[in-house]
Amino acid sequence: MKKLLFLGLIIIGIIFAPSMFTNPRDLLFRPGANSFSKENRSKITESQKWEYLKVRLMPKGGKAKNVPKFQGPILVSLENATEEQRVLVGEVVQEIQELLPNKRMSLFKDHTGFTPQEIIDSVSNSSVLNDFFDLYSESISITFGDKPSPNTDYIRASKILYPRINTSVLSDSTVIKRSGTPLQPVSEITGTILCFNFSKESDSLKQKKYIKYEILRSLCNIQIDDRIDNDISNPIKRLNRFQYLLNFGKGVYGNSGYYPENYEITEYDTFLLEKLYSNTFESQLKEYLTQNYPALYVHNFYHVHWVKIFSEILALLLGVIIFMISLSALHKRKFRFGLFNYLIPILLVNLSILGLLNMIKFLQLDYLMSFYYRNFMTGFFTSVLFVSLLQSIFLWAIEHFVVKKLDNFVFRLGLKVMITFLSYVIPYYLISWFSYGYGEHILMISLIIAISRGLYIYLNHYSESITRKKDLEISQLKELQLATELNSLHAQINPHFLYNALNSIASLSKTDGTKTEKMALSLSDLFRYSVNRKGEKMATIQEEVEMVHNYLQIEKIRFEDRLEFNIEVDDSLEKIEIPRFILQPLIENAIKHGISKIEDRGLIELQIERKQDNLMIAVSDNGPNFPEGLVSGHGLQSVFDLLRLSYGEQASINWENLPKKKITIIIKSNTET
Amino acid sequence: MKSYTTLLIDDEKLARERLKELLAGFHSTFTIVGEAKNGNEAEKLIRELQPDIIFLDIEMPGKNGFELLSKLSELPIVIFCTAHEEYALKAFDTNSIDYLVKPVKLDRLEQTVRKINSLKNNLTSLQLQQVIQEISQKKEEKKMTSITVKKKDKIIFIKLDDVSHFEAKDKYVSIYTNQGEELIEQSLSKLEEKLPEHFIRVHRKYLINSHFIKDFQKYFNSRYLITLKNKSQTSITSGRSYKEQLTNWMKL
Repeated sequence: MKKLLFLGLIIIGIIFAPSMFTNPRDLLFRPGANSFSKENRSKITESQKWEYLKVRLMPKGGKAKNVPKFQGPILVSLENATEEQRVLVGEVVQEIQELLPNKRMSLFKDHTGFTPQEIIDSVSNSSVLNDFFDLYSESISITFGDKPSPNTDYIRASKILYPRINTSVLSDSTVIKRSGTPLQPVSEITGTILCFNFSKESDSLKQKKYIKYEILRSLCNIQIDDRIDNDISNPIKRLNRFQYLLNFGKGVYGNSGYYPENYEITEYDTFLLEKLYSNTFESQLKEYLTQNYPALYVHNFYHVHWVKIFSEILALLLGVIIFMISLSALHKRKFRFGLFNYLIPILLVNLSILGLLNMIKFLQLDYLMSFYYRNFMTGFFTSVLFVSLLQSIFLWAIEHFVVKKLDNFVFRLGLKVMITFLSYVIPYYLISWFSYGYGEHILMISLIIAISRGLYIYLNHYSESITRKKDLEISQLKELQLATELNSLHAQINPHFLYNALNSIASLSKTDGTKTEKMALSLSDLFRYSVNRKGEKMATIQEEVEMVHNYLQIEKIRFEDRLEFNIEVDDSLEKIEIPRFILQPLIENAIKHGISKIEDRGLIELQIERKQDNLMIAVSDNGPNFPEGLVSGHGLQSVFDLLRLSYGEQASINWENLPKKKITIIIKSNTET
Repeated sequence: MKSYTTLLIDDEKLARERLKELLAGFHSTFTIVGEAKNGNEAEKLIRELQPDIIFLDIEMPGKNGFELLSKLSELPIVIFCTAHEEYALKAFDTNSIDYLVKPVKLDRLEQTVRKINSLKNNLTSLQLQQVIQEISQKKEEKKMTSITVKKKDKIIFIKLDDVSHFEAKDKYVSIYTNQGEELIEQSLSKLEEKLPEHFIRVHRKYLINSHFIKDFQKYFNSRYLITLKNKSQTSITSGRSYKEQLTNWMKL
């Protein structure tokens, strides 16, 4: 019970921990929200400016740290420009240059000494101008006219990432065409294409304004953000909660749409440019984030991959710990109330899985807003409890009324696995909120749960049956051992044999003293062997055969001519060990049921040889056939038991009446000691 | 004292020698006229020599002692000699016949001699036959302890004590133990004859080991529902015609 409580605490801890260490709302809704606290709203603070930069330059969620910008000098190349227009652009370039102290920015011709046309024309002729060609291909190309000059095909950006030209028609009918922000993330800015078709109405002031806007916009890629981007020309649109960031709206970079007519170069804009093109941009950004954001956010920002690995490994470790504790707490425990046998494990599984998944998502800053935003505690627990209850009732009912009736273990196992799987999959499809956003994993999780349960049941069953078998074997062995011990106390040899032998000795003593002595000594050897005081279980073939030889000699004195015997043993086999007393019952049987039943000469043959790598022991006699079915006496039964307990399935006994009456023991070779 | 002509019948030479030696001490009572080493020889000699007394071994190859006696038209005085003392019956104290356990001891033989001298010759063949029958039946009751099952290339020995029941199926009979099931060729009726008394036939198809009976309930139509205490707790319904066997067993 204590273990279960401890377990419960761990799981609840995991589920609650995220909200204890961080206020999720901070991370979700207003990263860097402090920047916009009431006191700060009226003035423009440094962190506000950073926020502006961050929101505009980095994709939502802030996971990309690589902000694209111009790598080399920023060159503006002109095509189809009048002298007047050239001067205009030159002025703009100068003004912007002042905003970028660290970056070289100028007109293409001023920087290289050539016009684009000249560069392009000369490419085929000489290689001297090739470097300039590269510069051209990464420049901001401005064409004056109704469409971009064909030379712009060489601008690198045009080929790869700008499938269409973005056009704006201004209120004074000026048409501006631009290549715009790439649709996919890029690592650096490699040129822009601009095309101005000024209307007759626009004056040079306006034209300069437009040109400046477009060039400024070309210097960085502005991200689209629904929270902030708003069509500022449509004030009727409903304000969302971020509208207090309206300060942004006016700047060049305030909106991801293009509004070259109504803009101001705000402090935010200049800050953005300055920081972006500063040499220490990366480290400054990092410093800002570290100081103003929770550690979790910063880690996700800079080390997304490691955070992912860390969170998954942590979840795995916790999962394993929970699993082990619950296994030791619940293993073989039967609750009095049958339903609990299902409810408790299911609750544990559901809570831990959901808790761990939630933990992973939390660490990776990847979760549904609703999970924490709504009244998560009560909702979460009651719904999990409710669904777990349904699942356990379902499982309990089916297993109690259907599965229990089946006899076959494999069927029961298969059925249990299947309905466990179903008990997870069905609720998911019926109750959509059960998924909690983990829906994509549900099939895999259900499968894992079902298969694990199946494995657990199977292993349990298997180990139980092994234990039972072992217990049975042990008790059988004990029985046999006891019987053997008892037997050896009384000497395994048939008491009648003793009577007969002593009778014979008594008779002999009058007539043949030497023979009497020999027989008495043989008998004493026989008994010493059979008493087996050391309790040894095996004997060499040589020892066994010697004993049999003694036995036969004693019997021969009783039967005289009626008993002949012949022993053949391969020399190479003499040292091999076989169970003790395995030969004597066979010989005794041959005499009792064979020789003593015939009037004439009886012959007993013992043959021990190796055949095809197996050890073969054969005893044959010329007496009446082996009986069918029932046998009396324990001799052969004890041989059979001894073989089975010593060798298991590796030894067998067989008898036949044709062509010769013979009983054979075969011991397979790999069991020889 | 009368002297009796005596024939010694025993398959073992040493036994005959010993008896001869012992009887030599009573040479006034016994005159040994011959020795036979098996049933056939004995029959011949008895017919030829007509001895008064025969010392007869029971276990002999070919014709055993009893079979020999059944062949004789006239019975002499019989003194059984055997190594199996379990065949001794109280009946022998009634002076009709005697029974010597090998190895024969002198003082026991003296007792026999005395008995012979006080014998009343009212020995009727019928009485003798009866006693002989009793002894021979007791002898035949060799207790069966195991049953063999022949499998492909080996034989399995199953202790009867481990057998819970037999069931007759189409062509074979199944024998059940806690280790499992095996098939044997004998029929239930044959088994019923040969198996010890604690195996009862309760149904045309079933022969059970009464030592395994756990539960015994009355059922419809003179039947009984028997539950065995084997691993699978087998339940067997008895047949109507076998009711008597069961009630007999119950009384025991």
